[in-house]
Amino acid sequence: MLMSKEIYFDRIESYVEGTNPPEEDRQFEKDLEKNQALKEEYQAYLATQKALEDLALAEVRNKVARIARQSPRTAKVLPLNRRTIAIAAGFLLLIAALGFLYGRQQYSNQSLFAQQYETPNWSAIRGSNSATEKFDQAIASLQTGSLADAAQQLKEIKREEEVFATAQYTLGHLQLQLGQAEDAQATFENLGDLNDKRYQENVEWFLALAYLQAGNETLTHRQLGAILQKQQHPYYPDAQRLQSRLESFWRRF
Amino acid sequence: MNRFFKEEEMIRGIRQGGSSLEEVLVFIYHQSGYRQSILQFIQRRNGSLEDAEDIFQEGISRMVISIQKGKFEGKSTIRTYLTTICKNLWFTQYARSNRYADIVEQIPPEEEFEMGPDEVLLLKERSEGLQNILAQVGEKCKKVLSLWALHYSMREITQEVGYKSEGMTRKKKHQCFKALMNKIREQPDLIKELLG
Repeated sequence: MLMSKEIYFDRIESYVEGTNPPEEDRQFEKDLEKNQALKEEYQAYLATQKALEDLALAEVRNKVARIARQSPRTAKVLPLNRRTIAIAAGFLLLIAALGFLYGRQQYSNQSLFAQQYETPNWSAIRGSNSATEKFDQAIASLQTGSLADAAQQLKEIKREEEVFATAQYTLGHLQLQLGQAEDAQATFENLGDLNDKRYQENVEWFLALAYLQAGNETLTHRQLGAILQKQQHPYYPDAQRLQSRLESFWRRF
Repeated sequence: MNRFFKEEEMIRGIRQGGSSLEEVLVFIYHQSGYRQSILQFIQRRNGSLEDAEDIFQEGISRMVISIQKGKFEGKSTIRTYLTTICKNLWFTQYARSNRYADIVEQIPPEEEFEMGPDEVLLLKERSEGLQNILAQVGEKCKKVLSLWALHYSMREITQEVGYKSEGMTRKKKHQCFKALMNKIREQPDLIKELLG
Protein backbone atom coordinates (compact mmCIF):
# COMPACT_ATOMS: atom_id res chain seq x y z
CA MET A 1 0.00 0.00 0.00
CA LEU A 2 2.75 2.33 0.96
CA MET A 3 4.59 1.32 -2.23
CA SER A 4 1.47 2.11 -4.27
CA LYS A 5 1.05 5.46 -2.64
CA GLU A 6 4.66 6.30 -3.39
CA ILE A 7 4.16 5.39 -7.06
CA TYR A 8 0.85 7.23 -7.13
CA PHE A 9 2.48 10.35 -5.71
CA ASP A 10 5.21 10.42 -8.35
CA ARG A 11 2.70 9.91 -11.18
CA ILE A 12 0.40 12.58 -9.80
CA GLU A 13 3.24 15.03 -9.34
CA SER A 14 4.46 14.54 -12.90
CA TYR A 15 0.93 14.93 -14.25
CA VAL A 16 0.18 18.12 -12.25
CA GLU A 17 3.54 19.71 -13.00
CA GLY A 18 3.18 18.86 -16.72
CA THR A 19 6.44 16.97 -17.05
CA ASN A 20 4.87 13.88 -18.70
CA PRO A 21 4.81 13.13 -22.38
CA PRO A 22 1.23 13.41 -23.75
CA GLU A 23 0.65 9.66 -23.91
CA GLU A 24 1.50 9.27 -20.20
CA ASP A 25 -1.01 11.99 -19.34
CA ARG A 26 -3.67 10.19 -21.33
CA GLN A 27 -2.86 6.91 -19.52
CA PHE A 28 -2.97 8.67 -16.15
CA GLU A 29 -6.40 10.09 -16.92
CA LYS A 30 -7.67 6.63 -17.89
CA ASP A 31 -6.28 5.12 -14.69
CA LEU A 32 -7.86 7.90 -12.68
CA GLU A 33 -11.32 6.83 -13.85
CA LYS A 34 -10.76 3.19 -12.88
CA ASN A 35 -8.54 3.34 -9.79
CA GLN A 36 -10.31 4.66 -6.67
CA ALA A 37 -7.15 4.68 -4.58
CA LEU A 38 -5.35 6.71 -7.24
CA LYS A 39 -8.31 9.05 -7.42
CA GLU A 40 -8.29 9.59 -3.63
CA GLU A 41 -4.55 10.18 -3.67
CA TYR A 42 -4.96 12.64 -6.56
CA GLN A 43 -7.63 14.57 -4.63
CA ALA A 44 -5.41 14.66 -1.56
CA TYR A 45 -2.61 16.06 -3.73
CA LEU A 46 -4.84 18.75 -5.22
CA ALA A 47 -6.19 19.66 -1.78
CA THR A 48 -2.64 20.01 -0.48
CA GLN A 49 -1.76 22.20 -3.43
CA LYS A 50 -4.84 24.34 -2.80
CA ALA A 51 -3.96 24.57 0.88
CA LEU A 52 -0.55 25.88 -0.02
CA GLU A 53 -2.09 28.42 -2.41
CA ASP A 54 -4.35 29.64 0.37
CA LEU A 55 -1.39 29.89 2.65
CA ALA A 56 0.45 31.77 -0.09
CA LEU A 57 -2.36 34.32 -0.24
CA ALA A 58 -2.21 34.68 3.52
CA GLU A 59 1.54 35.06 3.25
CA VAL A 60 1.20 37.74 0.56
CA ARG A 61 -1.23 39.53 2.83
CA ASN A 62 1.31 39.38 5.63
CA LYS A 63 4.01 40.69 3.30
CA VAL A 64 1.85 43.60 2.18
CA ALA A 65 0.89 44.40 5.77
CA ARG A 66 4.55 44.35 6.76
CA ILE A 67 5.47 46.67 3.86
CA ALA A 68 2.58 48.96 4.81
CA ARG A 69 3.93 49.22 8.35
CA GLN A 70 7.20 50.58 6.95
CA SER A 71 5.27 53.77 6.24
CA PRO A 72 3.33 55.38 9.09
CA ARG A 73 -0.43 55.21 8.50
CA THR A 74 -0.83 58.43 10.48
CA ALA A 75 -0.10 60.40 7.33
CA LYS A 76 -3.65 61.42 6.62
CA VAL A 77 -4.75 61.48 3.05
CA LEU A 78 -7.01 64.51 2.85
CA PRO A 79 -10.04 63.80 0.81
CA LEU A 80 -9.80 66.47 -1.82
CA ASN A 81 -13.47 66.46 -2.48
CA ARG A 82 -15.22 69.29 -4.17
CA ARG A 83 -16.56 70.60 -0.93
CA THR A 84 -13.11 70.95 0.63
CA ILE A 85 -11.73 72.63 -2.48
CA ALA A 86 -14.72 74.94 -2.68
CA ILE A 87 -14.37 75.99 0.95
CA ALA A 88 -10.63 76.61 0.56
CA ALA A 89 -11.17 78.55 -2.66
CA GLY A 90 -13.94 80.58 -1.05
CA PHE A 91 -11.71 81.45 1.87
CA LEU A 92 -8.87 82.56 -0.41
CA LEU A 93 -11.30 84.57 -2.49
CA LEU A 94 -12.60 86.28 0.63
CA ILE A 95 -9.07 87.17 1.74
CA ALA A 96 -8.30 88.52 -1.73
CA ALA A 97 -11.56 90.49 -1.85
CA LEU A 98 -10.95 92.04 1.57
CA GLY A 99 -7.44 92.93 0.54
CA PHE A 100 -8.69 94.46 -2.67
CA LEU A 101 -11.38 96.47 -0.86
CA TYR A 102 -8.88 97.71 1.69
CA GLY A 103 -6.45 98.73 -1.00
CA ARG A 104 -9.17 100.38 -2.97
CA GLN A 105 -10.54 102.21 0.04
CA GLN A 106 -7.25 103.50 1.32
CA TYR A 107 -5.14 103.85 -1.77
CA SER A 108 -7.34 104.88 -4.67
CA ASN A 109 -6.72 108.26 -6.34
CA GLN A 110 -9.83 109.73 -4.75
CA SER A 111 -8.91 108.38 -1.32
CA LEU A 112 -5.39 109.71 -1.51
CA PHE A 113 -6.68 113.09 -2.75
CA ALA A 114 -9.16 113.31 0.14
CA GLN A 115 -6.41 112.41 2.61
CA GLN A 116 -4.06 115.12 1.26
CA TYR A 117 -6.38 118.01 0.34
CA GLU A 118 -7.15 120.85 2.80
CA THR A 119 -9.73 123.51 2.02
CA PRO A 120 -8.28 127.04 2.22
CA ASN A 121 -9.62 129.64 4.67
CA TRP A 122 -11.92 131.62 2.38
CA SER A 123 -12.58 134.36 4.91
CA ALA A 124 -8.95 135.43 4.67
CA ILE A 125 -9.16 135.99 0.95
CA ARG A 126 -10.17 139.51 -0.20
CA GLY A 127 -9.72 141.69 -3.22
CA SER A 128 -8.86 145.42 -3.32
CA ASN A 129 -10.84 147.22 -6.09
CA SER A 130 -14.08 147.08 -8.03
CA ALA A 131 -13.17 143.76 -9.50
CA THR A 132 -13.08 142.49 -6.01
CA GLU A 133 -16.83 143.09 -5.91
CA LYS A 134 -17.29 140.14 -8.17
CA PHE A 135 -14.67 138.28 -6.20
CA ASP A 136 -16.45 139.08 -2.94
CA GLN A 137 -19.68 137.88 -4.46
CA ALA A 138 -17.95 134.64 -5.35
CA ILE A 139 -16.63 134.27 -1.81
CA ALA A 140 -20.09 135.00 -0.44
CA SER A 141 -21.55 132.32 -2.72
CA LEU A 142 -18.84 129.99 -1.60
CA GLN A 143 -19.58 130.58 2.07
CA THR A 144 -23.25 129.88 1.55
CA GLY A 145 -22.35 126.64 -0.18
CA SER A 146 -23.18 127.73 -3.70
CA LEU A 147 -19.95 126.40 -5.14
CA ALA A 148 -21.11 126.33 -8.75
CA ASP A 149 -22.26 129.97 -8.57
CA ALA A 150 -18.98 130.93 -6.98
CA ALA A 151 -17.05 129.14 -9.72
CA GLN A 152 -19.04 130.96 -12.42
CA GLN A 153 -18.46 134.33 -10.80
CA LEU A 154 -14.74 133.69 -10.53
CA LYS A 155 -14.51 132.76 -14.20
CA GLU A 156 -15.91 136.18 -15.12
CA ILE A 157 -12.93 137.97 -13.56
CA LYS A 158 -10.59 139.00 -16.39
CA ARG A 159 -6.88 138.32 -16.68
CA GLU A 160 -5.86 141.98 -16.46
CA GLU A 161 -7.63 142.36 -13.14
CA GLU A 162 -5.37 142.53 -10.12
CA VAL A 163 -7.42 139.93 -8.35
CA PHE A 164 -7.19 137.54 -11.27
CA ALA A 165 -4.48 135.34 -9.66
CA THR A 166 -6.43 135.12 -6.40
CA ALA A 167 -9.59 134.36 -8.34
CA GLN A 168 -7.85 131.62 -10.33
CA TYR A 169 -6.40 130.14 -7.16
CA THR A 170 -9.84 130.13 -5.56
CA LEU A 171 -11.42 128.76 -8.71
CA GLY A 172 -8.89 125.92 -8.85
CA HIS A 173 -9.84 124.93 -5.31
CA LEU A 174 -13.50 125.12 -6.09
CA GLN A 175 -13.01 122.89 -9.09
CA LEU A 176 -11.11 120.36 -6.98
CA GLN A 177 -13.93 120.38 -4.46
CA LEU A 178 -16.50 119.98 -7.21
CA GLY A 179 -14.54 117.04 -8.61
CA GLN A 180 -13.77 118.89 -11.82
CA ALA A 181 -10.20 117.61 -11.87
CA GLU A 182 -9.34 118.45 -15.45
CA ASP A 183 -10.67 122.01 -15.09
CA ALA A 184 -8.71 122.35 -11.87
CA GLN A 185 -5.68 121.06 -13.69
CA ALA A 186 -5.99 123.71 -16.40
CA THR A 187 -6.69 126.47 -13.88
CA PHE A 188 -3.63 125.67 -11.77
CA GLU A 189 -1.43 125.33 -14.89
CA ASN A 190 -2.52 128.77 -16.02
CA LEU A 191 -1.84 130.14 -12.58
CA GLY A 192 1.55 128.55 -12.64
CA ASP A 193 2.32 130.35 -15.88
CA LEU A 194 1.64 133.64 -14.12
CA ASN A 195 4.58 133.02 -11.80
CA ASP A 196 2.80 134.79 -8.99
CA LYS A 197 5.10 134.23 -6.05
CA ARG A 198 2.19 134.41 -3.62
CA TYR A 199 0.74 131.22 -5.00
CA GLN A 200 3.61 129.48 -6.84
CA GLU A 201 4.46 126.87 -4.24
CA ASN A 202 0.78 126.27 -3.45
CA VAL A 203 0.05 125.86 -7.14
CA GLU A 204 2.80 123.24 -7.47
CA TRP A 205 1.23 121.17 -4.70
CA PHE A 206 -2.43 121.54 -5.67
CA LEU A 207 -1.59 120.89 -9.29
CA ALA A 208 -0.16 117.53 -8.16
CA LEU A 209 -3.46 116.86 -6.39
CA ALA A 210 -5.40 117.90 -9.51
CA TYR A 211 -3.36 115.45 -11.58
CA LEU A 212 -4.03 112.77 -8.93
CA GLN A 213 -7.76 113.44 -8.91
CA ALA A 214 -7.80 113.29 -12.71
CA GLY A 215 -6.07 109.91 -12.57
CA ASN A 216 -2.99 111.10 -14.35
CA GLU A 217 -0.31 109.21 -12.44
CA THR A 218 2.58 110.14 -14.67
CA LEU A 219 2.01 113.86 -14.23
CA THR A 220 1.35 113.35 -10.52
CA HIS A 221 4.70 111.67 -10.06
CA ARG A 222 6.42 114.33 -12.16
CA GLN A 223 4.89 117.11 -10.14
CA LEU A 224 5.76 115.44 -6.85
CA GLY A 225 9.27 114.88 -8.13
CA ALA A 226 9.63 118.59 -8.84
CA ILE A 227 8.51 119.44 -5.27
CA LEU A 228 10.84 116.82 -3.78
CA GLN A 229 13.77 118.52 -5.50
CA LYS A 230 13.30 121.41 -3.05
CA GLN A 231 13.70 120.38 0.56
CA GLN A 232 12.55 123.83 1.74
CA HIS A 233 9.30 123.59 -0.18
CA PRO A 234 6.40 124.09 2.30
CA TYR A 235 4.67 121.04 0.88
CA TYR A 236 7.81 118.85 0.87
CA PRO A 237 6.57 116.53 3.71
CA ASP A 238 3.15 116.26 2.07
CA ALA A 239 4.77 115.35 -1.25
CA GLN A 240 6.91 112.71 0.48
CA ARG A 241 3.91 111.16 2.18
CA LEU A 242 1.85 111.10 -1.00
CA GLN A 243 4.72 109.64 -3.02
CA SER A 244 5.13 106.88 -0.45
CA ARG A 245 1.45 105.98 -0.54
CA LEU A 246 1.43 105.98 -4.33
CA GLU A 247 4.21 103.40 -4.31
CA SER A 248 2.79 101.18 -1.52
CA PHE A 249 1.98 97.44 -1.92
CA TRP A 250 -1.71 97.99 -1.26
CA ARG A 251 -2.03 100.49 -4.10
CA ARG A 252 -0.32 98.07 -6.46
CA PHE A 253 -2.57 95.22 -5.19
CA MET B 1 16.97 51.50 -3.03
CA ASN B 2 14.16 53.34 -4.83
CA ARG B 3 13.78 51.54 -8.14
CA PHE B 4 11.15 52.46 -10.68
CA PHE B 5 9.29 49.54 -12.23
CA LYS B 6 7.81 49.56 -15.70
CA GLU B 7 4.58 47.72 -16.38
CA GLU B 8 6.16 44.55 -17.73
CA GLU B 9 8.76 44.54 -14.97
CA MET B 10 6.05 44.57 -12.32
CA ILE B 11 4.23 41.67 -13.94
CA ARG B 12 7.46 39.70 -14.31
CA GLY B 13 8.44 40.37 -10.70
CA ILE B 14 5.04 39.27 -9.42
CA ARG B 15 5.12 36.06 -11.48
CA GLN B 16 8.65 35.27 -10.38
CA GLY B 17 7.69 35.64 -6.74
CA GLY B 18 10.35 35.54 -4.07
CA SER B 19 12.55 38.58 -3.63
CA SER B 20 11.38 40.00 -7.00
CA LEU B 21 7.84 39.99 -5.71
CA GLU B 22 8.98 41.72 -2.53
CA GLU B 23 10.61 44.54 -4.54
CA VAL B 24 7.52 45.01 -6.67
CA LEU B 25 5.28 45.13 -3.61
CA VAL B 26 7.44 47.83 -2.05
CA PHE B 27 7.27 49.82 -5.28
CA ILE B 28 3.51 49.45 -5.62
CA TYR B 29 2.83 50.35 -2.03
CA HIS B 30 5.25 53.24 -1.46
CA GLN B 31 6.36 54.67 -4.78
CA SER B 32 3.81 54.07 -7.50
CA GLY B 33 1.21 56.60 -6.36
CA TYR B 34 -1.57 54.02 -6.66
CA ARG B 35 -2.21 54.16 -2.94
CA GLN B 36 -3.03 57.88 -2.88
CA SER B 37 -5.66 57.71 -5.61
CA ILE B 38 -7.34 54.62 -4.21
CA LEU B 39 -7.40 55.98 -0.67
CA GLN B 40 -8.90 59.23 -1.93
CA PHE B 41 -11.50 57.32 -3.93
CA ILE B 42 -12.67 55.41 -0.88
CA GLN B 43 -12.53 58.35 1.52
CA ARG B 44 -14.62 60.45 -0.86
CA ARG B 45 -17.25 57.75 -0.58
CA ASN B 46 -17.49 57.94 3.20
CA GLY B 47 -14.85 55.31 3.82
CA SER B 48 -12.47 55.78 6.73
CA LEU B 49 -8.72 55.83 6.29
CA GLU B 50 -8.59 52.44 8.02
CA ASP B 51 -11.10 50.97 5.55
CA ALA B 52 -9.18 52.44 2.64
CA GLU B 53 -5.85 51.02 3.83
CA ASP B 54 -7.39 47.57 4.40
CA ILE B 55 -8.94 47.57 0.95
CA PHE B 56 -5.73 48.67 -0.69
CA GLN B 57 -3.74 45.91 0.99
CA GLU B 58 -6.35 43.27 0.18
CA GLY B 59 -6.48 44.52 -3.38
CA ILE B 60 -2.73 44.13 -3.80
CA SER B 61 -2.81 40.62 -2.33
CA ARG B 62 -5.59 39.50 -4.65
CA MET B 63 -3.93 41.07 -7.64
CA VAL B 64 -0.67 39.23 -6.90
CA ILE B 65 -2.37 35.84 -6.60
CA SER B 66 -4.42 36.50 -9.70
CA ILE B 67 -1.33 37.33 -11.74
CA GLN B 68 0.58 34.34 -10.36
CA LYS B 69 -2.28 32.05 -11.35
CA GLY B 70 -2.05 33.40 -14.87
CA LYS B 71 -5.44 35.07 -14.76
CA PHE B 72 -4.15 38.50 -15.72
CA GLU B 73 -3.76 38.79 -19.47
CA GLY B 74 -2.41 42.31 -19.61
CA LYS B 75 -5.41 43.87 -21.33
CA SER B 76 -5.34 46.66 -18.77
CA THR B 77 -2.50 48.27 -16.86
CA ILE B 78 -1.52 47.17 -13.38
CA ARG B 79 -2.85 50.48 -12.10
CA THR B 80 -6.24 49.97 -13.73
CA TYR B 81 -6.40 46.34 -12.63
CA LEU B 82 -5.55 47.14 -9.03
CA THR B 83 -7.91 50.13 -8.96
CA THR B 84 -10.76 48.01 -10.29
CA ILE B 85 -10.11 45.30 -7.72
CA CYS B 86 -10.10 47.84 -4.92
CA LYS B 87 -13.24 49.59 -6.19
CA ASN B 88 -15.07 46.28 -6.37
CA LEU B 89 -13.89 45.36 -2.90
CA TRP B 90 -15.20 48.68 -1.63
CA PHE B 91 -18.52 48.44 -3.38
CA THR B 92 -19.25 44.83 -2.44
CA GLN B 93 -17.73 44.58 1.01
CA TYR B 94 -18.00 47.98 2.62
CA ALA B 95 -20.91 49.70 0.91
CA ARG B 96 -23.66 50.52 3.37
CA SER B 97 -25.82 52.47 1.06
CA ASN B 98 -28.18 50.71 -1.32
CA ARG B 99 -27.12 52.86 -4.18
CA TYR B 100 -23.68 51.33 -4.03
CA ALA B 101 -24.88 47.75 -3.77
CA ASP B 102 -25.62 47.41 -7.47
CA ILE B 103 -22.66 49.33 -8.72
CA VAL B 104 -19.92 46.99 -9.73
CA GLU B 105 -17.23 48.04 -12.12
CA GLN B 106 -17.12 46.10 -15.35
CA ILE B 107 -13.82 44.34 -15.80
CA PRO B 108 -12.73 41.99 -18.58
CA PRO B 109 -14.02 38.43 -17.89
CA GLU B 110 -10.56 36.89 -18.12
CA GLU B 111 -9.44 39.19 -15.35
CA GLU B 112 -12.18 38.42 -12.87
CA PHE B 113 -11.19 36.90 -9.58
CA GLU B 114 -12.63 33.90 -7.95
CA MET B 115 -13.13 35.04 -4.44
CA GLY B 116 -16.18 36.88 -3.20
CA PRO B 117 -16.54 38.50 0.21
CA ASP B 118 -17.75 35.33 1.98
CA GLU B 119 -14.87 33.36 0.62
CA VAL B 120 -12.43 35.87 2.08
CA LEU B 121 -13.78 35.19 5.53
CA LEU B 122 -13.67 31.43 4.99
CA LEU B 123 -10.13 31.70 3.69
CA LYS B 124 -9.04 33.52 6.81
CA GLU B 125 -10.51 30.80 9.00
CA ARG B 126 -9.11 28.03 6.85
CA SER B 127 -5.67 29.62 6.77
CA GLU B 128 -5.45 29.41 10.53
CA GLY B 129 -6.31 25.69 10.39
CA LEU B 130 -3.81 25.08 7.60
CA GLN B 131 -1.11 26.92 9.50
CA ASN B 132 -1.68 24.52 12.38
CA ILE B 133 -1.42 21.50 10.07
CA LEU B 134 1.70 22.92 8.43
CA ALA B 135 3.27 23.42 11.84
CA GLN B 136 2.83 19.67 12.46
CA VAL B 137 5.18 18.75 9.61
CA GLY B 138 8.05 20.68 11.21
CA GLU B 139 9.57 24.12 10.92
CA LYS B 140 11.95 23.26 8.08
CA CYS B 141 9.12 21.83 5.95
CA LYS B 142 6.93 24.79 6.83
CA LYS B 143 9.63 27.15 5.61
CA VAL B 144 10.37 25.24 2.38
CA LEU B 145 6.71 24.79 1.43
CA SER B 146 5.79 28.41 2.26
CA LEU B 147 8.58 29.71 0.05
CA TRP B 148 7.70 27.25 -2.72
CA ALA B 149 4.03 28.33 -2.59
CA LEU B 150 5.19 31.92 -3.07
CA HIS B 151 7.03 30.94 -6.23
CA TYR B 152 10.49 31.30 -4.81
CA SER B 153 12.98 29.51 -7.08
CA MET B 154 14.83 26.45 -5.86
CA ARG B 155 17.99 28.53 -5.79
CA GLU B 156 16.35 31.18 -3.58
CA ILE B 157 14.84 28.54 -1.28
CA THR B 158 18.27 26.87 -1.01
CA GLN B 159 19.81 30.18 0.07
CA GLU B 160 16.97 31.04 2.45
CA VAL B 161 16.86 27.66 4.19
CA GLY B 162 20.62 27.03 4.03
CA TYR B 163 20.74 23.71 2.17
CA LYS B 164 23.91 22.65 0.38
CA SER B 165 22.42 22.28 -3.06
CA GLU B 166 19.27 22.81 -5.11
CA GLY B 167 18.99 19.03 -5.48
CA MET B 168 18.72 18.70 -1.71
CA THR B 169 16.10 21.46 -1.65
CA ARG B 170 14.07 19.75 -4.35
CA LYS B 171 14.16 16.49 -2.45
CA LYS B 172 13.18 18.19 0.79
CA LYS B 173 10.26 19.92 -0.90
CA HIS B 174 9.10 16.57 -2.23
CA GLN B 175 9.25 14.99 1.23
CA CYS B 176 7.56 17.93 2.93
CA PHE B 177 4.75 18.03 0.41
CA LYS B 178 4.03 14.34 0.99
CA ALA B 179 4.12 14.81 4.73
CA LEU B 180 1.62 17.65 4.49
CA MET B 181 -0.53 15.65 2.13
CA ASN B 182 -0.66 12.80 4.65
CA LYS B 183 -1.83 15.21 7.31
CA ILE B 184 -4.54 16.64 5.06
CA ARG B 185 -5.63 13.16 4.03
CA GLU B 186 -6.51 12.55 7.68
CA GLN B 187 -9.19 15.23 7.39
CA PRO B 188 -11.62 14.31 4.58
CA ASP B 189 -13.87 17.28 5.38
CA LEU B 190 -10.96 19.61 4.83
CA ILE B 191 -10.29 18.00 1.46
CA LYS B 192 -13.90 18.57 0.45
CA GLU B 193 -13.71 22.15 1.61
CA LEU B 194 -10.46 22.84 -0.21
CA LEU B 195 -11.65 21.29 -3.42
CA GLY B 196 -15.06 22.97 -3.19
